[in-house]
Amino acid sequence: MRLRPTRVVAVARRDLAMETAGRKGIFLPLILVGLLIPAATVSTDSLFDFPKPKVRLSGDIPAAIQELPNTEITNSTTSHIHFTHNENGVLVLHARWIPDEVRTLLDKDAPAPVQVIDVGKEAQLPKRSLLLALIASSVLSGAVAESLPGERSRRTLETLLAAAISHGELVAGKWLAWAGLGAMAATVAALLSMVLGRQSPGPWLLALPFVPACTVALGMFLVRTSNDLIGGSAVAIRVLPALLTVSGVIAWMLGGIDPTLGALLPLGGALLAAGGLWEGWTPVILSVLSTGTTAAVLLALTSRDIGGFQESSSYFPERLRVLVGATAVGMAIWWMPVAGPALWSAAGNSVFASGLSTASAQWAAAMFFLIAAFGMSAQTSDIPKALSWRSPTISTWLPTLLVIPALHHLLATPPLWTFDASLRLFNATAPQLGVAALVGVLAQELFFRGWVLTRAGPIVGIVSSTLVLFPTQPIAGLLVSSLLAWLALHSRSVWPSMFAHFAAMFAIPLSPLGSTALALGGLALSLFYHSKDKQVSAPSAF
Amino acid sequence: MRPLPSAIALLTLASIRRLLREGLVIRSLIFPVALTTGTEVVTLGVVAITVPDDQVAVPTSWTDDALGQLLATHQITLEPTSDPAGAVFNKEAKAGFDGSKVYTLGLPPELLLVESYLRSKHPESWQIEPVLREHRPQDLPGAGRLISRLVSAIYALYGVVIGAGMIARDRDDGTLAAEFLLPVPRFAIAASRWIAASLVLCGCQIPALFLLDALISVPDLYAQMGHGAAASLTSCAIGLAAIGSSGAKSGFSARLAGALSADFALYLAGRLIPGLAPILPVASLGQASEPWLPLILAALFALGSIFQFQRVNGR
Repeated sequence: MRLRPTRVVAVARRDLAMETAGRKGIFLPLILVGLLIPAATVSTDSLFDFPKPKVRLSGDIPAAIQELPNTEITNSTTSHIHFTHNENGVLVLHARWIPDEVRTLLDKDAPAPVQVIDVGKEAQLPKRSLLLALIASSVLSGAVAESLPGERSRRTLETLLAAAISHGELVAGKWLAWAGLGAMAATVAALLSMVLGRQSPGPWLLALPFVPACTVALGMFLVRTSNDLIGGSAVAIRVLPALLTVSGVIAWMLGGIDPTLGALLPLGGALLAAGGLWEGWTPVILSVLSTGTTAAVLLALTSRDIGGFQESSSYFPERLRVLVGATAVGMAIWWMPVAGPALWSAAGNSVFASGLSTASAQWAAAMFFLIAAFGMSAQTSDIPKALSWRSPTISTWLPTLLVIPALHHLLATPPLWTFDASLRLFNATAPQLGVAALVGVLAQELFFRGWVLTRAGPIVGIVSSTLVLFPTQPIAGLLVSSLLAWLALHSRSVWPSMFAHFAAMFAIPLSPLGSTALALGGLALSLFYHSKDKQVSAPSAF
Repeated sequence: MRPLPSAIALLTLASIRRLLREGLVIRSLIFPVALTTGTEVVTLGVVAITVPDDQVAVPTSWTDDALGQLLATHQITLEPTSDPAGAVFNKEAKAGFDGSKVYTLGLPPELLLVESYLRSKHPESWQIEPVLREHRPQDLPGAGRLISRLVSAIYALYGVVIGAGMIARDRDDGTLAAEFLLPVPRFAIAASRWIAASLVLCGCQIPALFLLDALISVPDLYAQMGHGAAASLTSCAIGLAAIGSSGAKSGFSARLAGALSADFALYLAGRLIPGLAPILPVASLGQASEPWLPLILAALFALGSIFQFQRVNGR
């Protein structure tokens, strides 16, 4: 890709001139200055210096303890420490937690029989330059939204692309304008902070400009196909802060294992390196390399795609996109409410997890499956067709009835994994949950056997349904998904699979042999009817 | 000419379909709940990864079984190790001790159990009676109520935007003028849009509250749903009424700002006059009372804005 510096600079100057023209032009510089100067100059030891919680005390509180700062006298039901004396007159602390200050004060008159030592290392927190990087990056989301979508809605993008500049020069120029402004503002604020002695110079200064630079590149990539300012703003405002935060948190976690690992994460690594979290040059240089490379790749992809005015670009075949999309959406819808509470147990509070409502989880999942199914099918011209929502022929009900015992048997197959989250997923469709479970099953059918199967065919429908709904019983799940998909394909309707799945939850259990025989019988009958149907008219939908 | 109810139903279906077709609308309506629940899940995930096992590290020479029995009642096991301090530092145990030294990371409840046991061997010293109880969902009514109120408030603001935006957009692209040519009264056109916007909003808001209840527990869930629905229905009506004869090309921003201010004024009225909070839609968000009065008032707001639309022209 050829980039001529004069053209790139010309595009950058044009963008900056447009944004800063007239009275409104003063807003962006004012906001930048108004936020960055206080952040750079305000006098505080640490931006992350959180106040300690107050210790609530009750009962026969010793006078010395009452004089401790950061304490509050309250009643016994809400206190952290309730003081009493036992029959020997010894002080007893009925305590939920005891701060070091209280322990030290009580032990000062006699040698302590127990010595409490906190072996935790002080959590490393980033310095104020992290805030400067975040402000410089966040303020630019409006300008990023304006950059390409604004040109597109004003119908000037075509003119620019028809001019004697390449796509790459256009994208690089627009990136230079806003990345340059953000990087310069952050660097000037950091220099001001150093001059005032608020933060010491260090390698972090090198990583600082890369945060707004990569954020702008990411923002331009996200809005590259947005057709107007509203669409661009919605994407930029919604996604950029979330990506900055999430990548920063992940980099912080990885950095806890090894700073090199954290630094290698694009954007998040540079953000924390800019915050001076890690000592030495190595993490800073690595973060600059990974973030800079990512920004370059994003700009290259953006310049490749901006020519497609109305069309969203697609790198993958339709079926693969539906498989990945439907599986990811399905997992989010099904696993988050159903298995999510298990995280409370994993985080150390199993009592809280056990008290959460499984019925609410079912209702939430069912409703979100319905939203997903109707939302996706609304993009087509015929919603009922997109969801296979039509009456099946009479001949399809017999195989449907015969499949039910086999489905029942398969659904009851014990899970292969039995940790807390897997058990929650396995038990979520238990008939004891009543209406919630039944509505959930119907919604799942509408999503997997309705939308996914119709859109992307049986293999995608079966695989995504198995991965999402039966992660703990993959083999039985594959058979269940295949049987239900077969019913939907055979009948060209989602109703038989809905009915079969619904009824299988309450079916009378048969032996494996009986279930298999019934299923095979159903298969033979349906093949018979299917061949008769074929003689009348060729199938069209599938 | 079709009967009025079926005409409204058909227009409503068409409006719902147009709203669902706009990916931006669905993404925006899913975003508040995705953000709140996603944040909670990530936070819990991070805590789950970093929290040590339910173990207390003891020296390999430890033989006293009484402590083990005490900890077992709290589902905590003793883990003999040559380096109790190292085990705690490496997050293999929540606490550990070696003679009279108790090692911890921060101040976990396990520390109090071990310390109380060791202090009980020295009855002349002050003693500890640990008060250990894991939080149950009903112990944390504030968090669930606050988050559900915040999420419902965001949906109420979306209600204003969608209520106003539907009319403004349709006026600008000519859809509204075409519908005015239909043999149906104009209030039917407004009613269909209000119903469509309300159904789409509540269709996202109610599962959002179910999801929050599944993950963090929302006290008085069904009351919260009712008050949330009342706020959304009212906000849609306010948006519809505020846009009047304006379109996106003729003073949309000012009208929208006015509608958002009216919504906020309702909320403020409930804060300033506490007696109004349980009955006034939007102000009633987070209340535990029955939501019938706010819902009735929301319907009255809607009727007012729908019949006000009868006076609007198509230009």
